[in-house]
Amino acid sequence: MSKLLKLNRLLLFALCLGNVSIASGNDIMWHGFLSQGVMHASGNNYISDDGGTTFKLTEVGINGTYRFDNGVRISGQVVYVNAGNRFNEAVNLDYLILQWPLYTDMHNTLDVKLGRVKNYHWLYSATADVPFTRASIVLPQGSYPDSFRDLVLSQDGITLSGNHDFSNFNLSWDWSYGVNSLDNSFANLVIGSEVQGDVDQDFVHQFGFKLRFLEDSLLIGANYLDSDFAFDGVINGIQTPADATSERPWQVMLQYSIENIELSVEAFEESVSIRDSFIPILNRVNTGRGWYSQVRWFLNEKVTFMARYEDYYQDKNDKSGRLRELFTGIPAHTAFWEAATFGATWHITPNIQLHVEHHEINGTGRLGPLLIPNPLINDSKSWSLTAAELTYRF
Amino acid sequence: MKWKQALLLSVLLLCSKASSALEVIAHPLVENQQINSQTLRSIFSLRQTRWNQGTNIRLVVFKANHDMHLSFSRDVLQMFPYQLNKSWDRVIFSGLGDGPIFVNDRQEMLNTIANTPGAIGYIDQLETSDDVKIIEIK
Repeated sequence: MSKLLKLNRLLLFALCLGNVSIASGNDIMWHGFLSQGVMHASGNNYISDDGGTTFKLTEVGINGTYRFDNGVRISGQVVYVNAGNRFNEAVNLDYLILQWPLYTDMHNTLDVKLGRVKNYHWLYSATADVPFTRASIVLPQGSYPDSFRDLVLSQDGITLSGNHDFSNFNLSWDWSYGVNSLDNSFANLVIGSEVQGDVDQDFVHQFGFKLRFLEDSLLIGANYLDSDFAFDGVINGIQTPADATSERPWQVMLQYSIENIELSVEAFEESVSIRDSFIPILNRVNTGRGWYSQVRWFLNEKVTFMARYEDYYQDKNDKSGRLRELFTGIPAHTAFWEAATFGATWHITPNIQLHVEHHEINGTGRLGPLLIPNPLINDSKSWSLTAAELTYRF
Repeated sequence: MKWKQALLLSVLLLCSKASSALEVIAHPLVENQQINSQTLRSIFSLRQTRWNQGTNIRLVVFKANHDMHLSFSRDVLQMFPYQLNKSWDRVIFSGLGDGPIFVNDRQEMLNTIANTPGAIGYIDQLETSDDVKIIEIK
C-alpha cells in the first residue's frame, strides 16, 4: 500500500472518530496538524538531488490521548513526513506511551512512561516534528541534525520523570533508556548511498534536569547522553563491521522570557568514536562542539519574528577542517556548520499560521552523508536556504 | 467634611478594585484550600496534573485573547501568555497531556468548573457560590 494511501486512510479514520466517550465519562482527546511548505537550497543536495525549489515539505500528524481516573494515561501520535533528502519519507509512529503516576502530592510528582517515548531532554526535541512548536522549519543543525532526526525525537524504552515545586523555583528531571529502530535509510544518511547494510542502535541513555526561576521566566538545564551503535554491512564492496559510540557528555540550555522577548541558548559537546572498521576513513575519535543563540520577538498575538546564530564543528582540535583536508583530501568546509537565520510567523487565525525563514550557511558539516562527505554534491562552502510553511492545527 | 468624602470615596474605590480581582476557583470536591504560587504555575503549565487526593486536575481557561486570560497570566501567574501556549502545545503534542478546556465567557467558566471533577480555573467578580470553590494562593 502506498504511503499516501496509508496516510489518507489514517486521516479518515481519525476524522470519523471525533471525540469518543468511554463508559467512565472521560473523553479521548484528539489533536493534529497539516502542513505544506516550499524550500529552496542553493548549491547542494540538502533537500533534493537537483537543488533548486521544491515542495518536498509536507508534515501531517494526528494524536490521541486518554486518561483513566487513576491518572494512568495512554497517548499516541502518528506523523507523515516528506522532506526530500532531509529525512526519510515515511508514516511513522511518533510516540505510543503508557504513562503511570508513581507518586503525587501538591509539590511533587513522579511518573514512569513506557513505550515509544518522546525525548523530553532538550529544548525542542520533544516536538521537533510539530511545525508550530518549533521556532523555525529547519532547527539549528548542530544541536538537532536532520540526519539524526529519528534518534532525536524518541526512543523505545522507559522514561522516569519528576517535577518538584519549591517556594521560589521548580525542578523537573527526566531519565530515559531505550533504543531506536533504524532502517537502511539511516545508514545512507550517515555513511552514504554506497552502503549495503544497517546501522543498529544498541542503546541510548539520557539524564537531564531543568530549573525554572523568577516565576518561570528563566529556565536553566543540563543533560547527558550516551549511545552505542553497530554496523554490519558492505561499503564499496568491502564487508566491514564497525562499532560506534556517540556521546554528549554535556549539553546545557537556557531560556529567558521577558515581556514579549524570548532568548534561547543551547550548547553541547559531542564525542564520536568509530572503531574496528576495515575502511580507515570511517574510523575516528572526534570531539565536536556546537551552540546556538536565538531570539524571538512576539510583536503581538499575530506576528512573531525570530533571529538565530549557530556554530558547530566536528572536531574541537580541527575546527576549520584544514588538518583533515591535509591528510585525507576531504574538503575543509565539510567539517563545520555556521548559520545565521531570520524568520517571521503570521498567526492568520488561532489555527492557521504561515512561517517564512531564510538561512545563510557557511559549511556543510551537518549535510549527509555525515561520516564520508560527498564533496561532488556538497561542493559549496557558502550557501543559502529559504523556506515557507503553511500549517493548520486542530 | 470634604476630606471625609474623599476618604470614603477612596475606600469605596479600594473595595471595588478588590472585588474585581481574579480568583482561582475549583470544583467543589477539590480538597485543597490553598496552593502556593509556584505550584499554581506548574498546574497551569500542565506539569502538575493530579491533586494530592489522587484525582486528575482538569485545567479550564479562557481563550487566548480574552482579557481575563491575559490578566490572569500576567498578574496572577506572573507569566507571559506565550509561555503558557508553548507549554500547552508541548504537552499536547508529546503525549504528556490533553491540554486545557477553553471557555468563551464567565458563565461557561463557572458551569465547566462546577461540572468537571478536578477542574481548576479563574474568574473575576465572583459572588458567593456553592457551585465552585475559591482556592487561596499563598
